[in-house]
Parts: sequence; structure tokens; C-alpha cells
Amino acid sequence: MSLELRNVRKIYGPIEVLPSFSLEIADGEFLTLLGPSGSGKTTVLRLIGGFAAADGGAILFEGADITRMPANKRPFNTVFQDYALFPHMTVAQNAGYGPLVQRRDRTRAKKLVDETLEIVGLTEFRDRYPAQLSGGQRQRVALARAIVCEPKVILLDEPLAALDAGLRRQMQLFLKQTQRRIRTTFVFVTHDQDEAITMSDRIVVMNQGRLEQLGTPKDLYYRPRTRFVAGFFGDNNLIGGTLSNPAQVATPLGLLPVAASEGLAPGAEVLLAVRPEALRLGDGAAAIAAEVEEIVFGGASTRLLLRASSAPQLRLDVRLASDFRARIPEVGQQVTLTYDPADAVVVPA
Amino acid sequence: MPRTGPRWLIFAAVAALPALVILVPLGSFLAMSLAHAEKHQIIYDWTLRNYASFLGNWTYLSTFLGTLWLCLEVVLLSLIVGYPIAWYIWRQKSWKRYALLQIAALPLFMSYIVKLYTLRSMLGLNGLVNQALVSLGILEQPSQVFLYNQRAVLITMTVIYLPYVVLPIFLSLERIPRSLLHASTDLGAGGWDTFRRVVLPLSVPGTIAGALFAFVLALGDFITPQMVGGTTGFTIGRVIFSQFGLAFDWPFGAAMAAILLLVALLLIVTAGYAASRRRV
Repeated sequence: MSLELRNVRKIYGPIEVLPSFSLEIADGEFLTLLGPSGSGKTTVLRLIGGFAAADGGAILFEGADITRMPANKRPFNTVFQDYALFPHMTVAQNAGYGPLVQRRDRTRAKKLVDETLEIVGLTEFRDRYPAQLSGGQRQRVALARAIVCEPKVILLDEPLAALDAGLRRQMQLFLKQTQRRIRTTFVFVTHDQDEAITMSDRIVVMNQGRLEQLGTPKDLYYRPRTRFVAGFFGDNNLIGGTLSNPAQVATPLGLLPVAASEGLAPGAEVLLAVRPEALRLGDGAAAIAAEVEEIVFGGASTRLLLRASSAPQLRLDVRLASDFRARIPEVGQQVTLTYDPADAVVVPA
Repeated sequence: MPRTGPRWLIFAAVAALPALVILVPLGSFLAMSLAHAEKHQIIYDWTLRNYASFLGNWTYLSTFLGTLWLCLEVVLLSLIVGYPIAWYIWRQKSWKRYALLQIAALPLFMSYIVKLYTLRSMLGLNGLVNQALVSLGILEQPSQVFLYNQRAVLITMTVIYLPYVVLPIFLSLERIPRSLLHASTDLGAGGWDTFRRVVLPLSVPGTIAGALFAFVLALGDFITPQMVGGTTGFTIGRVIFSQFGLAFDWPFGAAMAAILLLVALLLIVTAGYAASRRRV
């Protein structure tokens, strides 16, 4: 393990932002810290970067304790949320700042800057000032400045938050490609679950200073282990009930089948989570009678909002793959929904 | 263009008062500089002879150049003293920095004359400066070098105009986003590199503004040299003042004041241009 946080604690005034946080980050992975604001994700990044001092625990890098190492000595570089570009320096000067203040050899530094500007595609903008660049270009300069010194870890603090949706998707892809190309560990902070899913090798979901769940995007998306994670990704259907046996949950909609329910004893209060795209029209092992309330055509998929017939307070969200010839029910129509039990999981209520 | 008419009217109405109280007196004294005085009578004969006699007289010219040099010294000294003060205040946190800022700005609320008298008593033979230096053993006996000479003018002006230097520098430091300092540290820079390569260049506009304030205020100051300058602390401000007072040659005084104004304007324009060329 290249970077490790061991029971790290951080207090700001009367608030315990991180009670005890542990995490191991592997070499070369794209790890995302995901959570709502106030979950402590930025604090973790600041602790790794050395911009905040831990009040307890230890941070280890390649086996050495770096908890007290000052920020300018750590082999990590940061891409800041507002980019923090030096306004009085050109693109090339910004990118060359690290090698300059680290007293690197000049010819080598120049080569590094040239290569890096090539990687981020800013070679022709090298003599421009930040004020003369677009948002996406500034983002690239910030990235260039961070990667030029070939740090062991790059920390990214919500770097895409200021960009509009289109540019954001473009930059997500670009960041991912750059990371693959330079094979450096990226620790990325975001509150946007779509961003986390598209880019990460692994995601840490954080909530109130605690690690809620750690796993691959697929794990978190399809196999949430807590109520928070189940509710955080997309518009999951969450149906409350009691686990009656390891493969079935008693709900207001009847006995519904689920995949494994590890660590939960029969009789436990649970939430059954099933993705909107896992629900389909038809009869099967699970059968839920519902009435269509709303239909939203969304291009690739069509969204149906339904109300369960046997429990009218329960609303269901269904995503059907769009097909020009597909038969879509009408508003007010009674339908039966089903799903593959393998697509349903339970989490503690 | 039906809508530009009223707009022009509003602009004219807003601009009328400043124009009246600034441009009219300015114009009248520029006109005066082209007149000449004869037996306490001012004759408007539109002549440039005042300017010619100023430029042709080495005594006046050397006093003028000496004053410019003195003002440069005031600027330099107040920057040397003021920049570290501004920087120090900027580095403080929360209430401490605003308390210090208040203290730095406090002299601005005091009467200029009170400050002058205070400084004069401090610089005098039995003043605070001499007492301190003697009791510290640096001087054997009180010295007269601190008062009634050019040096006294320099010290007094520097002290009086210090707030005008500290405040703009502080403001320009304050405008530097903290994230830039983090970024510099993050990239491996130590405190000195961060200061030299990020903080200092980004605070240049405020420093230029502060220097300009000190220079222009010192250039026009004729009371300080009179109060603490003695016989050697002679500045162009005193010369102009004496033309209006004792000599009663208002046109000549006006001509010298016009030259002073020109120098100040030239400097302001140059400094403004220099500051605007920087990308901050």
C-alpha cells in the first residue's frame, strides 16, 4: 500500500470533522472520496496534502510516517477547486513553477514543462496568461502544474465543480485518460456521484466524517451495504420491510425476493433496494401491482413513475430502455412489475 | 437618439459640482500663472515669463530638483518601513489583524498639525528620540541632527504619510487568494520563494499606489518643511508659499504650482499605466 491513513482524527473548534478515519490507497489507482458537503472528504484531502494537521492518528507514505511533514516537502501535488493559477505568470511559467522552486536542473525542467504541456494539450497556449484562457483550459493548466513534478500522488479537490455540464463530461474523460497515461495515484474529491462512478477505480463514500462504504463503482452501485449508500446513487427504489428469511423480505407489497442478505438475521428491519433499470413490466418471482402516474421520455430510456396498488404511499421509479416500437403503458394504467431477485439487495433500515 | 439626451443631462448635472469646485479654481490659477505682478497689481498679459524665469533661475530649479529628490527619499523610506508593516498585519489572523489595521489607520483621524507638533517635540533636543538614544548609550549627549534640517523633513514626512503607504499595500495583499499561497507551498516552495515569486509581484499595484500617495503628498507639503525644516530644509512648497505670502507675486507662485501639478500628473499617469500593464 502506498498511502495509508491510520485512525486519523481532525477537530475544527467544537466540531469533530473526522472521529477516526482509516484508508489505504493503492499505487496508481484513481480513488474518489465521495460524500455530501460536510462529510469530511475535503478534510481528508487537506490532511494528505499537509494543509491541515491531524489531531490524532498517523498518515503513512510508502511505510514512512509523514503526519508531521510540511506540505512543501510532501511528494504530492494538488489541483485546487478554484485552480489557484498564478495570474501574473504565463501558462508555461505556471507549469514550470514546481521545478523552479524545487531547484531542478533547468534544461531538464524545460523538457518536463514541454512534455507536460503536450500531455494536457496546451503547447500552443504556453505564452498566454490565465485571464486569457477558458475554464477548461485553466483546468488543464492546473493539472499540468500538478503533474509536472512527477508527484507520487495527485490530489484533486472538486476540480470540475466550476465547469458546465458538457465541459465537465469532457474533462472527466480527459482526467481519466491522463491518469492512465502517467500512472500516478489520483485522489479525487467530489460530491457528484455520476462523476465518481465514471472516473474511479475505487470510491470511498463518506458520511459525517465516517467511511460509509469502500468499493468499486459497480460494488457501490449494485451492492450498497448501508442505507446511506443505497440512497446516494441514482434514484434507487427503497422499500421498507422485515427480513423473513435470507432470501425474502416481507413488505407492504407482499413477500419480495432478494439476493443474499449477508450479516442480517431474519426479523431484521431492512430496506429492499432495487434499481429503476432493474424493474421491468411483466410477471415473475416478484410481482408488484402498480398504477402508472407519470411517463417521462428521456431519449435513451423512458422513465415511469408509479404508485404501488397495495401501498399507495409507496412510489416506484422504473427506467425502461427506449425503443421506437416498444409498448409503453399509459398514464393511469394498471401494470405488474417484476425484477430478477439477483438485482435486489437489502440494507439495514 | 431620443434616450441619449436625458442621459447626457444627468451626467452633466452630476459632473457640474465637481467641475465647479475643482476645474474652475484650477483654471483660474493656470490663468494666473500666465499673468504678471507689478507693484502688487496682477496684470493679465498672457505671458510665459513666469515659467521662463523659473526655468532660467538655478536657485529655484535646484530647490525644485532637491524637493523631487526628497520626495523620492520619503517614498523609499516609507516603502521600506511600510511594506513590512502591511505584510505583518496581513499575516495576522482574525481580530488581531483588524486591531492592528485600525492602529495603522488611526493617524489618519488625527489632525495634521497635532502630528507635526508631536513629531517636533519627539525629534527635539530633549525629545523622546534623543532621550532614548542617550539612555541606550548610542549617543553620549543629545544631538541636534534630528531637527531643523532636511533629515528632519524626511523623517517627519515619512512618519506622517506612512498610513497612506501601509493601507494600499495591505489591500493588495488582502486581494491575493489564499489558495495561491497554498498552491505555491504545495509545489514545493518555501516561505521566501512564495513571497518573492507570488506575494511580492501580486502586491505591486498596491505598492505603486502607496508610493504615489506618499510622493504626491510630500511634493505639495509646505507646512512640514516650515515646521521642522529649519533653514536647510527648504522645499519648492515653501518657495511657492512665500510667493503667495511675503513676495506677493501670485502669478509666479501659480506658475511654479502649475509645474508641480504637471509633475504630479505625469507621475500618476505613468504609475497608473505601469500598474495596469500587470495582469493582476
